[in-house]
Amino acid sequence: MKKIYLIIFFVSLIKVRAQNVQSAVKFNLGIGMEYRLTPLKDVFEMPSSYINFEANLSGVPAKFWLAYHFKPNWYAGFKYCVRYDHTGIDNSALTGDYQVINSSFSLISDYVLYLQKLFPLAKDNKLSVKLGYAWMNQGVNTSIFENNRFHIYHYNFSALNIEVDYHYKFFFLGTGIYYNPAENHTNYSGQMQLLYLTMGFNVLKF
Amino acid sequence: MMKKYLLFIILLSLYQIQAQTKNDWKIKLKIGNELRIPVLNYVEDNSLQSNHNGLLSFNINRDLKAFLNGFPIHYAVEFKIYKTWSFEFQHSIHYDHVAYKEAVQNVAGQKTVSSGLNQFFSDYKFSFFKYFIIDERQQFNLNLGYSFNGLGSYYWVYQHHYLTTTSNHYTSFHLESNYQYKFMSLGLGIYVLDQPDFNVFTGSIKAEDFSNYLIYFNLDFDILKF
Repeated sequence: MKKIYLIIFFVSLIKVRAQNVQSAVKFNLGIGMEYRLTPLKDVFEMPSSYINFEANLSGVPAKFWLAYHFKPNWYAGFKYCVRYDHTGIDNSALTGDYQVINSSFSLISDYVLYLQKLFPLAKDNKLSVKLGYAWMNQGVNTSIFENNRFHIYHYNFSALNIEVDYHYKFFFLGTGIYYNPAENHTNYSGQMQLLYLTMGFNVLKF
Repeated sequence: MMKKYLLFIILLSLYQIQAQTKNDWKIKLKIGNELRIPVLNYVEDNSLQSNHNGLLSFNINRDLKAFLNGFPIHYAVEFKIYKTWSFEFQHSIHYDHVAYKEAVQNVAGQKTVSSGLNQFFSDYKFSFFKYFIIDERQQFNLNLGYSFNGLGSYYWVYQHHYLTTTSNHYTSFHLESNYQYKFMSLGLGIYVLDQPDFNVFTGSIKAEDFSNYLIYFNLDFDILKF
């Protein structure tokens, strides 16, 4: 009988410790992918055709994030997306008329700061909503020589980011949008609405 | 002796429960590749017209056979919806031909040799699966779905001092059957190209000039179930 009490005591201790570990989780590190679809209408327009924003913005970035658990079911996080994608055209490769050439490609980054609210559904299932602010297209810069001088064009912009995810254990699947409502920018004009699907893993909690 | 026998039964039951729960997945991650094989009636030498904003008309030299066939690798995530039914999203990655570098084959009556323009592009594939369980280790499945293909296959055309971009995007339906043994599955499928959205190949090409289907073999490995 004493042994049984002893076992119950140890099991309780383990459970208490497990709960403490759960509540002690402060940071969440994850990796995933985004599948960006063709931007919706009103995509940016360029004064000259040296960049195709449809090609530039629709792509498949890899991402990782670090989130801070500051309150039950609330996280504040930073997400970093990186893709190797179309940046424009390097027309120095042109040697004459009637030619087909591919785009210039480079590594393009997006930074997102976000707040996330979790809604537990069942033991292993959760819904979450993320609201963030994104600094997009970091690394897309082009120099164009026209009218006897060089012009530097930066194609980075900021956007609001909303994402809804379904979580099952350490995996999640979701959908979201990047939205830029502004009409006038330094080097281009128009709005931007970019829908995407996403999935990923929470790989480390500590 | 009785105790050992009881212990053996308990351990065996535990093992069986575990075996059952192993098959009781909700989400499955897979990696694999497809081998898209040639079918008859492809146009080898296809100078196609493509209109851009109604302003210009280009003769772009593409090779449909080289573009559509290939050996893409993919990864996929599959969700069990109900018992033997599931839904899958798959992302395929190609490095393949998109066009030839000369927009027209003959300039001023001279023969020109044009090398191919190759680059990375993707397919997004959405499928519904129905499983037919044969035994604990073997199963058969049928899946049906819709794909967005050639995503990212943009390139630029220069003609008469104008630059413009075009792409080889197209959409398709697919039907596939797989035989699965443990964590590996082998399959055979068909893509039926969705003509109305096959935007870049409308123009001078005629429907009877090429087959609007692609046959493929599929190899998948389940790498994680939970």
